Amino acid sequence: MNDRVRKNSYIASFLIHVVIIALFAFIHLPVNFEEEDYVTVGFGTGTFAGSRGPVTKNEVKEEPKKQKEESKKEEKKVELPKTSAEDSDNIVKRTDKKKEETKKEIDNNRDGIEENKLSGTEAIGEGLGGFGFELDFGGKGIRKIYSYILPEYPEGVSKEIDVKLKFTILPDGTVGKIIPLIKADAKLEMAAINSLRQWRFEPLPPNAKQTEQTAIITFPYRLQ
Amino acid sequence: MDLLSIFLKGGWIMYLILACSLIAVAIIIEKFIVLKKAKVNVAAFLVRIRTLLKKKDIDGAIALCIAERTPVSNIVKKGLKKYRHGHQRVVEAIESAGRQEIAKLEKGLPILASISGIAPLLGFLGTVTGMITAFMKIQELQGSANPADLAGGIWEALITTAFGLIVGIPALAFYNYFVSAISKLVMDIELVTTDVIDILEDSGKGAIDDDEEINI
Repeated sequence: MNDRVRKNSYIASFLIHVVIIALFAFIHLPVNFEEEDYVTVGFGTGTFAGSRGPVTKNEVKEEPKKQKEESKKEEKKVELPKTSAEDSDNIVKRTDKKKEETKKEIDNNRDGIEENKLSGTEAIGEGLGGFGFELDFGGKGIRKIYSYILPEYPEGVSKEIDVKLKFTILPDGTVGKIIPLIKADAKLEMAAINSLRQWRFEPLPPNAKQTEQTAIITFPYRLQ
Repeated sequence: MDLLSIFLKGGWIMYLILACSLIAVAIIIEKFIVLKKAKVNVAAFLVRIRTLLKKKDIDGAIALCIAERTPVSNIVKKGLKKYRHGHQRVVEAIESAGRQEIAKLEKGLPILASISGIAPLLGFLGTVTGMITAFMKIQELQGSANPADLAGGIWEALITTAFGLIVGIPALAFYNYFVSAISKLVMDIELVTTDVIDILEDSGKGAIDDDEEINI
């Protein structure tokens, strides 16, 4: 009798497993994750994986030292790891106002952003029209910028002001609503809004929650 | 991503874990059936067998045991069959039958215990081999591997641990449940057999012993 029971239970076990494996084909694991509503905007294709928590002032100050130390260490080695070498070479000096260098910085902006990200804001060097822009980072999320156009300095205006815009990034990477935060000059504002409208960010991954994300950008218009 | 493709990403270790699961579930089903059949209303059985034995209706008691077909009745039946050969033989028969029945009840449990330990270990083995593969891949890519490459290898490696634990945890839980259920059953068996032995001993001595006891 016991042998019959055993045989039957093995058959039952086999059937149960067949059913479970068949069910596996229909069970989809939700790998959705929620994107931050308030994001950091990033450039290029570099990896911004290390989204850190709030950065204290001390950390910000210490960071460049660490970078230097690391770069010194790296130089001793024969083979330089690609990524860290780039990091140490392209530290953005925020006080640097020379045009040529700022252009270069925009080209290599990926590393610059990684450096500046720590301070909570990011200053991309001044553009041809005598302005740059700053992005205010409120959240931990990161969106890469695929393409951007710096606003032209409109003619007939001679003001040095910061135009601060709050804008939403739609899930497909386009810019949604743009809200000016500081009312200043209408022409400068329009120029900034018009250029910002043409920016493209990386779209959200398909398995992420498709939400609009908010970022704040500052265009400091400066006369040359 | 459906679970089946996740399952298949785990590699060959997953099939070993699946085999463990197959055996474990079979043993669990078998034990449930065996224990359900073995569970007997001890009090009711004791009352009936006691009445028959008091009447010295050994054949009737044996017939009752055969009808019950539980481990307890099997043990009592084997003891009663030796009734004619004296009290000592009855006790010996009951003891040996008891050991046999307990062995029957516990059959398969060591395998279940092994599976509860082996399945998670197989999972860990799968994870470790997967990690080795992932890191070898990174070395091959000369350190230019992006986090996605690393994460891909790692989550695939971790699947085996997850499934190993999914098999191991219920196996351990059921093992403990069966062990406690069987020990409870063994206590019931002991209760019935000692009672039966007592009754047989008393009835074997006859009424004279009772009178002596009264006189004292």
